[in-house]
Amino acid sequence: MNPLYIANYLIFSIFFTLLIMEIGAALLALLSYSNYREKLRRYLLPIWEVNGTFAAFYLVNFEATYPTLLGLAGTIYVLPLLLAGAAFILRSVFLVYAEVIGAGESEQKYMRLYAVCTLVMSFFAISVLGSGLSGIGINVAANSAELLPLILSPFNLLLFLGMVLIAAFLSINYFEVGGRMKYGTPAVFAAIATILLGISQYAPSLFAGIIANIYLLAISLAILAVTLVLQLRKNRYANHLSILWLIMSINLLGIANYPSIFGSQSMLQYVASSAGALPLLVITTVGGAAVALSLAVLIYVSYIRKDVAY
Amino acid sequence: MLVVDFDRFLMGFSLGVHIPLASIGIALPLIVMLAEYLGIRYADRNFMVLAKRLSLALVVLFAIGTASGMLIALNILLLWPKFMQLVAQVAILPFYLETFAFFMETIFLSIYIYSWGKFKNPYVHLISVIPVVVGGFLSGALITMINAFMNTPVGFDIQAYISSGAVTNIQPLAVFTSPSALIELAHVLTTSCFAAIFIFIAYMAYRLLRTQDEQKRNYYIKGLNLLIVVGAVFTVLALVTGIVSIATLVNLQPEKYAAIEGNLYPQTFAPERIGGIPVGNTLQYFIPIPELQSILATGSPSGMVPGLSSYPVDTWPPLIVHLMFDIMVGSGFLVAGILALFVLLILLKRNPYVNRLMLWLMIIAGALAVLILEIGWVMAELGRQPWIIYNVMRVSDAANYSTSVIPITGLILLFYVIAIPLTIVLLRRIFRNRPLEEELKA
Repeated sequence: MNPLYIANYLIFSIFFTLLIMEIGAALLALLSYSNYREKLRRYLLPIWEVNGTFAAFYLVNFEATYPTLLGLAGTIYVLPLLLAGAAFILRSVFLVYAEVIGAGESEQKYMRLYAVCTLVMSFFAISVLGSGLSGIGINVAANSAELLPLILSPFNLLLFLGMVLIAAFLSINYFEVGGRMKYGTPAVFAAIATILLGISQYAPSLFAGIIANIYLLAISLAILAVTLVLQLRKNRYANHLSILWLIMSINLLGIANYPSIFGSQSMLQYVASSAGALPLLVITTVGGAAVALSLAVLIYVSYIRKDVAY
Repeated sequence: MLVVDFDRFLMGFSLGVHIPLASIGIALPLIVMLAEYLGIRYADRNFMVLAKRLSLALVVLFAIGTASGMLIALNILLLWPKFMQLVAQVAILPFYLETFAFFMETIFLSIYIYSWGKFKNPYVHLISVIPVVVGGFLSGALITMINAFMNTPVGFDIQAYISSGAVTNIQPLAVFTSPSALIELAHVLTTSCFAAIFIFIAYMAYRLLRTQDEQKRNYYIKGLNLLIVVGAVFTVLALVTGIVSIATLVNLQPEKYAAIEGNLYPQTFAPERIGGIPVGNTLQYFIPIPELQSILATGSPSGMVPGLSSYPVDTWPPLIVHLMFDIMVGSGFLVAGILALFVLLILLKRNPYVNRLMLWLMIIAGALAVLILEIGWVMAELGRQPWIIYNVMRVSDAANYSTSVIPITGLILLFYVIAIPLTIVLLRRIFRNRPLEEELKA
């Protein structure tokens, strides 16, 4: 496997996991903000800007990894990406308003607006992902796309529904909503079924990749089973494992899909030249380690009690 | 042609809003750090409150700036796909490194904001803002390197690219040493800090004008003392780097230099032309200062400076850049004059903070600083026209001609039109909900 592809996919999996966790938080903020205000603020406030930075990180890494794909991708996905970008900006704006405005009606109003924008942003972002996997809604040879078939394709809708269900699963457990496991387990199995249905019907090359490497699906399901058992036992590491499960599952999907793009094309034709590969990998490794270390400091500081006044 | 103009307008408008936000993102962490240091060092509550309140403003402006920056990144990819395709192959590393600098800013800003009062030793908290300062300056420097690449492209076989479109002999690290990189990032960073600091000088002067409360006046005066000292340093640095920056254009981008100076023909003993009206391809009705241009550009009155006539007409930048240059330099001297007046009042042992005219001049200086920043960037970008990458790729060759861009333009403009005023209203509400007098007493 191409190392640049692996690095880019690893970054994508973390970015996408963060996105799905935010969809989960947005769902809760939309449906029952007042009941979960403290938990949501404790999770979202230190991390939402990092999520946004991860989006930029993934975008630039993609540009560096697949430079010759940019002309094509920039032209055919111009509309959904700009719409996702606009929603992303509004999501950031409303969340920071809610963060600093102080408790009250305005905060709740801004949190709801944030939640709607997050869902809209995710919808358009996932439509680009779905189209990139399947080739639906685009004509690569003609360098064109049709927005409505692209975003309203059954594949995209199933993919989005699956992501929302996974987000609900993570959210239910992470924020301890409605009792552990009560709705979470059905949600995650419904999500897997929905996504697999979409893939089998509309992304045949990816489905063939999964069938040919069925052990990848088995690994994902095994980790999920362990996660669910830990959750049943109310083990404190269950939530960490569920996040790890999602990151690993996205990567396993990437392995199954390798090296396809747009349904039938090979991604390898777009990968950066060998001259650029080494510095890119070195920067990714060193920079990634620095980011991980910084995040560890952030988590450490968030656990220190506030007891000094100055 | 219409779609290219839309692309151009959208990009220009987005950058016009984003650049002041980005400048604040570079300068404000530095001010927050200095204020907290002074607060700890001299056990001065005024500076601690200043650091805390400015850091709150930083969070909001940083968030809006980040969102706007993400939109700019998308705009570049979507509006100029062929440009981005070449940059991604040849000069992507500064962009990529910038995301890590950005991570450093983001993560440590969170740490800084959410760790007030968490450390027994206050210097530990102060240390947490240092990566935010470093990250801000690094982000600005790395992004400027891409602009330097656009002005003086390196890192690939340019002749082969022009003749066949093939990108060969790629040297991905060359972008860090492009001929204009060093002077450009020195000038961009200093002018960004200069403009952002003067915005806050204007704000503090305005608040000082509006209050009679001694405690509050003391707070604003201390804030202004800090800002004016740092602002004066960056004013000098911006001026020096600006002069060097213009002089380097003589060799690196002679057409841009000639248009900025209003030189139709190359000449020795060239006068500095002040003002003037572009008529066709000539400049008329200007005031000449004999030999000054040659002296500034080459160090000698007999030095030869380039003229537009040496280049094909279709590669001439618009002559309006000359007027922009004059407005920028003239405004810069006005700000420097206001600073000089402030120093003069102090030397005459007069308190500048009780002089209402002086405070109004500080507010005007803030507005001029923003004008200088904006017009400086417009001049620099217009001065490179018709090229997006100098002598390599024209703007018209890089653009996305898909008409689907046009309706989105409205949405993005709407974002800026709504979000920026809303942010200002929100900042007012935040600070109204946290009365200064209570924070000073706490």
